[in-house]
Amino acid sequence: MECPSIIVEELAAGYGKRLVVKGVDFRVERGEVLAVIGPNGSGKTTLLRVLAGIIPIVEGRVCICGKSYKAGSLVRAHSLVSYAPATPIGDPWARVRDMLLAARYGVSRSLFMERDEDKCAIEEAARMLGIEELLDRFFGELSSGEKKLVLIASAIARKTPVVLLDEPMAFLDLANQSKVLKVIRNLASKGYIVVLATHELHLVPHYADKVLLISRGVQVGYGPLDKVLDRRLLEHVYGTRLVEFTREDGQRLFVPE
Amino acid sequence: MLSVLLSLSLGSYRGVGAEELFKMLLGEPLTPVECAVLTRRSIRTLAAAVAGLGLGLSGAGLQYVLRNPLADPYLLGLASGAALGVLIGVLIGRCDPYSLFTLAFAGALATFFLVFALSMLAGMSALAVIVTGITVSYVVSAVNTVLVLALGEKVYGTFLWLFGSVAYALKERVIQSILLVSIAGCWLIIRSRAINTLILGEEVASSLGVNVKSIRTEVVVLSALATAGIVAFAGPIGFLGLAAPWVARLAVGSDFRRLVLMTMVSGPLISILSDVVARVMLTPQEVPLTAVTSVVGAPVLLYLMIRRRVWG
Repeated sequence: MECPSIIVEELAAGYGKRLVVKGVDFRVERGEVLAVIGPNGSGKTTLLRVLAGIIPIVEGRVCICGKSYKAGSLVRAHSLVSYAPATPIGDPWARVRDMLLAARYGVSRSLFMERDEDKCAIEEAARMLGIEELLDRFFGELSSGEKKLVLIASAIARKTPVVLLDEPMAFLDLANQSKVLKVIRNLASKGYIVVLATHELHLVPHYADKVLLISRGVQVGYGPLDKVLDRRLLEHVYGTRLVEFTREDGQRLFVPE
Repeated sequence: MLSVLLSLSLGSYRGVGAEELFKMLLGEPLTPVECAVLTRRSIRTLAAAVAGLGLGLSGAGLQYVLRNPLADPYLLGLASGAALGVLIGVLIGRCDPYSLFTLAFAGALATFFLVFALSMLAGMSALAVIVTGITVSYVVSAVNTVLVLALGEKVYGTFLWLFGSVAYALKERVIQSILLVSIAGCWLIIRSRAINTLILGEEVASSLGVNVKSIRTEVVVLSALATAGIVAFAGPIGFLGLAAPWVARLAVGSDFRRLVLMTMVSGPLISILSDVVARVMLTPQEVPLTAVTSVVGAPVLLYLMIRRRVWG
């Protein structure tokens, strides 16, 4: 199934009466990657959780793949959206293969046990992330980085047109970061929509088409990279001095001073 | 099959053994005594099987939905709470199976919520929940012991029930339980694919469209139902709910769909064999079932805790 776009209008969401994000507006088209950036606690994860259908929309509207979800409702697009959370949590006694198969819930065409096509999907996802050798290991034996790759693989194994990744680079070494970068670009080239939250600003230009900058739950910047990735704006939002580099191809990169 | 035959042929009455059992299976006539002994033993075996099945399934379900590998109806206080309910029923003179069962169910749920409220204060970690569960269990068991002493002969005429035993299981209550355990079992199988997603963590399970809260409530209520029914005839039996799912898990892995089916084999197997040991160990005296199941369950518990520490 294809998904033409995700449209978010005046979105507000939170926990109980406390609103964590307010007034978020963006639009991602088929084949695009949106990077959500902002300081810790700014509401990036909350935004992804709304799109993943874990917490309800409090105000505003979300439109995913042509279906609209209003305030007060959950985004029930579970069979179109996959989500990999930031912290790699899972049953330490589960084998990686069983976890990836479990993630086919809601997208697998069989009723009870998974079929060959599900097995193909998980093997393909494992190959993309280079974790074929981990398939028969216990989740509990893996390192944090390996666990992270397993969760990303379980989201990709669902083959949904929308993939949400919360801090996909966290816990990963350089080689694995580069692997995940390639996977993200590869998904976008196949027409997937990828929305991810990240702190690695220097990697954003490698894969993102658009950037959404939020600070304390409020959207302070949205648009193409060169518009949002501005040193003064970022210094103001993150509250720290940044050093700016210009890459050979003209792309600007930022690191803490 | 073998365990069932073993269970039917062994017991304190030595006059009836394998020989008489084969006579019955071949359709040869039995003496009234032989017949009575075999009937009693078959009820007992059935009771053990139902208890093992129900407690094993409850343990398996609870371990997944509470995301706690140590969860077990006994360790979480469900069993002792149900026993308290039964004793209160006897105390107020409501001994008909339905009142007793309702009280046992209410007792199981009440202790479960108490354990949960207290473990929230203790931080909700897997170990905190179990330590709170065991603590509450001990307090409730102490109350139960005092009640049994105060009630004297009125309660099943024995202390044995308080430590878990299928020796005096009443046929009607076993049959009532079969129904409850079957409902719980069928429901777990129907929901097993959704429950299985919890191996990915609650966040991911919810993003897959699984209503984690509702599935947790379902499993807790079903476990309390099954446990209450079993406690009403067998008392609180320890460790079966922990050991049976883990034996199954070591055999077939962590996929809940396979695990739940395997637990239906491992649960009755462990409990029938434990019951055989319980009746032959000190013949003609009966040993409480918990004393035997602990021997299987305790090493499992220790192994799990050590392994967990190694993994961090």
